[in-house]
Amino acid sequence: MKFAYGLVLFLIIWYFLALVINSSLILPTPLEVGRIFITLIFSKSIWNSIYSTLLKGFIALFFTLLLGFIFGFVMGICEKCFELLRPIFTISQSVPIISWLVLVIFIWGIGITGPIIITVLSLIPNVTFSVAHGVRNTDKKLLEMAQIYNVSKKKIIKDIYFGSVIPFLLSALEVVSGNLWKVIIVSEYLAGKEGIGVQISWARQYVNIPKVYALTIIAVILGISTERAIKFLTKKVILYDIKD
Amino acid sequence: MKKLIVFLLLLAVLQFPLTLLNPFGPTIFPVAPILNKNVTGNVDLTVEFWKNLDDVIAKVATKYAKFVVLPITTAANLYTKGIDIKLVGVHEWKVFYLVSNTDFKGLKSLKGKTVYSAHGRGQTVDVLLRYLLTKEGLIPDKDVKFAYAPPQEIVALFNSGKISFAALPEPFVTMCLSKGKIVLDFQEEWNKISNSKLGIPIAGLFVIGDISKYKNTILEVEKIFKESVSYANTHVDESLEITSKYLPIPKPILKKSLERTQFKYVSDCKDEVSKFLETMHNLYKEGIPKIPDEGFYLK
Repeated sequence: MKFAYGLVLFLIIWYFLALVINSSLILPTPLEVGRIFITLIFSKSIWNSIYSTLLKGFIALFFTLLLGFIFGFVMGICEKCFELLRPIFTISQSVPIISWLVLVIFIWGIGITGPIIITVLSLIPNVTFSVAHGVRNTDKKLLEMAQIYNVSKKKIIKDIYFGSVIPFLLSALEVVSGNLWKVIIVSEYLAGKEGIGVQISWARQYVNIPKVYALTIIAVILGISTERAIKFLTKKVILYDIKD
Repeated sequence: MKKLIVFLLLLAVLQFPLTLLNPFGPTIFPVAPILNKNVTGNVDLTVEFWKNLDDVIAKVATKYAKFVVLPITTAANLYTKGIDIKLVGVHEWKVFYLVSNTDFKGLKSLKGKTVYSAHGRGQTVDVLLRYLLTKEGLIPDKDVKFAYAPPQEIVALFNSGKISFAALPEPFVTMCLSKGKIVLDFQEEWNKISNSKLGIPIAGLFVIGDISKYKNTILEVEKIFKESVSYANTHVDESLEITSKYLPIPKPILKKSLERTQFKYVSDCKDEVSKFLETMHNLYKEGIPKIPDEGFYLK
């Protein structure tokens, strides 16, 4: 309910700003954007774009988590690996998307792969470092105890390490989900064949600014719903942990 | 009495400097003489650059300046969205070419290939190329694939041999010529379609906002602009020198590209422009959703 009040406040501010600026080419009113948004939702082509963006987003998310988890775990357990790999991820985190562009287009052309690769490269450091910190923060006393009682390697990894990694992984996931669609859409804008980012790029070109805002609303909806879904999952996982 | 009023008006004009918004790009060349004060007139005209669409839309919508140089298609879309601008004259007529690094025997040889063009769907070259392909009996997107990317990226891909066909504006065409050659001149093709002799009306000078009070100023600015274009054409090296002070493009490339770029100020070009906009609209509605009415033209 509070969220709805916040939304109303946001719309009021937007409307007021649009009235002050008084140019639909700079900031259209929420009404104008709403109208275009409705017509967009009922057009077939937009659903292809949404589908394309969703597909890229989930593939990118899957690889980010998988690879981030593997690298992070290795870096957490082995001190040498951590020192060796850290610069690579630190650099990868701060490279602007535009700089990957030539390389990515050169290797994969214009299509679905480029934006996915760019997104994974931009988001993976976050996950990797979170997992690595989780592993390094594992309770040493627990590990000693496990060794004294001859607990199997498998059990140590599964119960002790994973147990301490999960909270870190979940917080990384929240950060990643917030940035995921932003990065995907920007990379589509620059190197995509289809998707919401490509639609935004074309709408801008025809000076159809209200459409740019309407497409942005779709991106915002994607962002908010993913974040909510992940929060929901997080709660489930933590509850499950406690039950255990 | 009338003369006196004109004189007073001119005096009033002289009181404040006028701003001309010009794109940041090779289109600096035709206004270089204004920048360098080679060409002056009865009004104090200062040139400011706009770097991207957002920048110029904000400045035009808020009436930040009185005069602006815009691509014709962009200007048409701004006008039909309620922005008060009028076309004074067109000064850029030639800039688009198709480059290729493989064997090219007419458009038919594009079958099964991918053509890269700048920015996105609905660009002038994109629309024209699709039209030309259709005339050759090829189906765009099916027989010939299209891909869009920033022009700098296309140049890099072309020169690395990754792609074979690129439809680009100058100076990017020149940047591709070490690895390929020009196989199609879009201006010639357009002249055939439209029975025009001038080429494609690419960019021109526009006046922003209420013009009734500024008749003389507009004439004066137009005169300076026209002189500047012809001065640049007759003093190429000098204007090139000034242009490269602003543009980070190597001078030799810029010079070569100017051989294939045509700047020529034409004030009476309403027929050419309206025919061009109509054709573009008919070929691809989304690119130019509405054709501007009479009010788009100053003359």
